[in-house]
Amino acid sequence: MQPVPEYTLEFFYRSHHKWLYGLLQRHSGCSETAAELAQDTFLRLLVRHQDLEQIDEPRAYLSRIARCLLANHWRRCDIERAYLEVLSQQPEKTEPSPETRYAIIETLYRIDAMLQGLPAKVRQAFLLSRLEDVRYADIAKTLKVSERMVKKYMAQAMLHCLRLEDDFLL
Amino acid sequence: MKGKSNSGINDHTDPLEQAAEWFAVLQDEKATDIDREHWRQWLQANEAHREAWARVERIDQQFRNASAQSTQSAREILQAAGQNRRRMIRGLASVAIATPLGWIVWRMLPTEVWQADMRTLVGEIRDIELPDGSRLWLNTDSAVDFDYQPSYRRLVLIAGEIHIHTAPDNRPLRIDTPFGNITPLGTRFTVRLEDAGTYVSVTAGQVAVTPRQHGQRAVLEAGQALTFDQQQVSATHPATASDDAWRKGILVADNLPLGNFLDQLARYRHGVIRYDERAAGLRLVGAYPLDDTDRILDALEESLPVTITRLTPWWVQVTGHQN
Repeated sequence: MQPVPEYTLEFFYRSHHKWLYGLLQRHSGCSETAAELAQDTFLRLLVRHQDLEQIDEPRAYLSRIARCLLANHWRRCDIERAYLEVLSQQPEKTEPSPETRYAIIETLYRIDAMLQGLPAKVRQAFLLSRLEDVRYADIAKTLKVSERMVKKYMAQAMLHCLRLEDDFLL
Repeated sequence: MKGKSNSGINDHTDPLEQAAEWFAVLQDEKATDIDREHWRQWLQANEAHREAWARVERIDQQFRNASAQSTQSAREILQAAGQNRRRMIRGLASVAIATPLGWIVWRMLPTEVWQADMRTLVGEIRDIELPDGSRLWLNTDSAVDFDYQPSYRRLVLIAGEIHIHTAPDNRPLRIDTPFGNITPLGTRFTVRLEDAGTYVSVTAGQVAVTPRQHGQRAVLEAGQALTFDQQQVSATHPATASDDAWRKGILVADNLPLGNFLDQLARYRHGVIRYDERAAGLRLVGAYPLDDTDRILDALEESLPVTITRLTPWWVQVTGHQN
């Protein structure tokens, strides 16, 4: 069966892009960011191979994706700012190249994304162990919980990442 | 009670849940050989377990990469970013507050390593001619800074291992390491940075070593080797063939315990090589070309009573056979 023209991505794009761009611009206060995120939103739609016919409320649907992308954007900005700030406190000699910086921010962003939604202590326990090789006993002391709890946190965080991966695969 | 701490894992039916629990058990510094044995049994039980475990490894690797890549404490940055997010808007001050946690171990890959004048990647072996005509070999994952001045020549070993053939020159040559320095007296020798000290092995000529804090000099002759830390120098012992065979791309085992051999081999590969006690004690004789470390592992499996399991490309397990 031929797709109905109204359900093509192109049709979607023409009818809603301008509106989405306006929405993102109001929320981000930056036209460049808005343009980029609007583009990303449609790109998401494309990669998901979503059956466009089944989307009842296109604008509600698009704004849900866009809001999520905007939140990611802020998160990346936060990480970038925190990284540059820590960097600026270092002696000049240790200045990494722009490529290195980008790669580091990207990696930090990815692992941060994996731990989103976990309770603060679980997240902290996992980061202490994985990024700094801190022993369970010392993590327990820092977080003022038992070592058994630390072990539980570790399993919880890992399972969270595994399940998240599942969601992405869907 | 303690010994049974893992028995709960199999209460879950989901392999992912089990894998996550095993991960938490094995990362614990108190994990025992019995734990690891149980984990191995779990892993061998079926394909779903192995798949789940491979995914655990893959996720963990991403965190390991972050810690290796960043010059700064990745955790502090994420922590600081998280605080911004919660709109505790103390501006950028929140970052400054998050930073001076005294007990934090800054064990990220130090900036000096990837900003060194000369460095090699894991598995890479290189040789170069220095401005004075001396020749320098860098072993896998090593980094050196050069400091050549009109009145002296200085090399700083930042990471890994080097071998040097010195050229005659009026200026003194010195190799600095975190544990102290080495002054060759017209010679060929190897210097390797280890966790607890600097290892020096002399092929020809003489070398003087001086620990950083205790200025007592010790002189090494050809065929001798020793290790020193900031305070003291170990007794000298005979240098071994493997001390400089690496610069020809060969790993030499002269009746070496397999455990030691695998530790050395691991330096030329990404990831980890784990082995059990039965495998560790086996003795090994041979010369192995380093250009293909996977082939070395295959050869080990053929010639020794061991099974080699590649759980993921960066996780190799060597298990000794029962009798």
